[in-house]
Amino acid sequence: MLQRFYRTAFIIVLLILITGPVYFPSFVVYLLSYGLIMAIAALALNLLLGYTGLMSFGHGMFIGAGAYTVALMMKYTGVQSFELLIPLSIVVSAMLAALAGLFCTRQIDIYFSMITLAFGELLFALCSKFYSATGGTDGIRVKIPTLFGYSFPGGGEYYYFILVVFVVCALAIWVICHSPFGKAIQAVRDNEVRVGYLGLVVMKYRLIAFVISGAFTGIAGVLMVSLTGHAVPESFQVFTSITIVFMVLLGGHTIFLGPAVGAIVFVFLQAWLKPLFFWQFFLGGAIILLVMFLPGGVLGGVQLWAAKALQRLRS
Amino acid sequence: MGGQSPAAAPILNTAGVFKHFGEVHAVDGVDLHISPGEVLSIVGPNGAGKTTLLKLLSGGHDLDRGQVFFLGEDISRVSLVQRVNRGIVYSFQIPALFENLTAMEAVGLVLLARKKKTVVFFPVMEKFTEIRQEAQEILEMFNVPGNFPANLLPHGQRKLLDAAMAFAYQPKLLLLDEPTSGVSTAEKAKVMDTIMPNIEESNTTTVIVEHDMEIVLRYSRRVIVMDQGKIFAQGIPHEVMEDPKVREVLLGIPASAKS
Repeated sequence: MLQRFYRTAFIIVLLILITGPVYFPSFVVYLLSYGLIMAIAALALNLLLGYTGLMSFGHGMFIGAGAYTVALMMKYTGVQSFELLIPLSIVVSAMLAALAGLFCTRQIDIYFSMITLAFGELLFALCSKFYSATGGTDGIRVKIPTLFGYSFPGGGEYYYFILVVFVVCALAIWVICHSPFGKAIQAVRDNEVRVGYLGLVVMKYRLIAFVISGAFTGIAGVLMVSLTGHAVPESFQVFTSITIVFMVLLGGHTIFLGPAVGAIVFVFLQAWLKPLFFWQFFLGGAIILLVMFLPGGVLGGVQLWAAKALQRLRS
Repeated sequence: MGGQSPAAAPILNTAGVFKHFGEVHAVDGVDLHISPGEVLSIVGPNGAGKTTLLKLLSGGHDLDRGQVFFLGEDISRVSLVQRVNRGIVYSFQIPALFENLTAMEAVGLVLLARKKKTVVFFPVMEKFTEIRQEAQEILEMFNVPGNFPANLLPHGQRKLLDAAMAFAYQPKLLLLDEPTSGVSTAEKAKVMDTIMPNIEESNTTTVIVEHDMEIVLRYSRRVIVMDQGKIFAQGIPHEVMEDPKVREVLLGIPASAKS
């Protein structure tokens, strides 16, 4: 029964996502696009946070890596197709993750988080100071890349591309989380000492998880810069990173799709509150309330509510 | 089984192994000789150095001095992970489990680790039917239900799951650290009666650290008594237990007092 409720809810949400552009105003479609892009990053981060037990405060650097791969390639080489830019940014973010990971996956807990944060800030500084190449804090203007020669006219069509990439990424991350490797990183999260006694090198699993997580976040960076049309050094920065962390916690890090729900809820909450004077105050307040009353995140709350409602129906 | 002559080529032996923690001489010059296929018990009072010795064998602790040989090869500086890969596997006194994984997933993961298939991203674990079957068999042998996460299992089953995870690796040398600790007296025999037939059937060389004399007398052919980091006595269990000095060390009954 509960399974059927989840399946129905899932299908309804998917139908809304598919048919959305037909009846939603364009700014809602824009927000949905934004939310789905961040959802990829949040699912990728949760591979580390929820499944491996590592809190990264530096995932903004992969958004930045993806964004600047697109921007610099467009500016200097004229490459402007998704079919080249996406694989390229996957490689760039994976390499960046491998490099940063060599330093930070040796550490655990807060030290891991601090080193990831430091890497993000380092890239931010690099990007904003190299004015000649990166345009400094002005950033680089970007247009939506083409897809096999097809150029996207605007919001609706690009939205569908984002939706497809999101579904593919979510499926891929889901499979990884449930694969032998996925079980191994959950074992690392639960008891890293015992993992050593299974003859497995803990650091290797942390590093691989970090690289996978970074690569998927890089894809989000490509889509993001194409949506906003502007690569800015701030995307490397801690504010971006913390936003992704918050989306994960908001949606619920113990449920696979929680982070994706968190990302979309966050984007709409932010857009809704932004016209208010001092909107960060209200966002902060909303966050505190959510954490207090829904410790399992939005999706955790839905789960709890559905279970209770079902019980009431039965009695 | 047990009573091989010490001259037989050992599966593992140590020469003057030392481990000090500051002032505490946890293991203070131990020479061990473990024959293939035997079940050896190590007993001793709290703080005798039993667990430390086991961890020196498994690679969980680095030793200060001395040498450990496995199948004739010096493994004193070989890492924990490498020793596991060579077949020395340790089971924890306080169960060290993956709390959110089911028993099935945990044992499955051990099997995958043994087969070097843990860096595999596709397909999902459920599709590995051979692994599932083998894990299912092992869980049945150890009487642990497969579909609950470890944190929902009662203590006795947590102990059994810990042992099953070590056993699933098909170790050449299995190190069981107090398999019945924290288990009620009534259940101790049940736990041992579940674990031991599997060890005997597979003819796995096993070292059991134990507190409970009854268990030592019942389940092992050779016993080593440790006290203050040193080997105090060794031999056939019921003979060793007759020794009044051993009784003094183990039970705190002065040798002079006649019972």
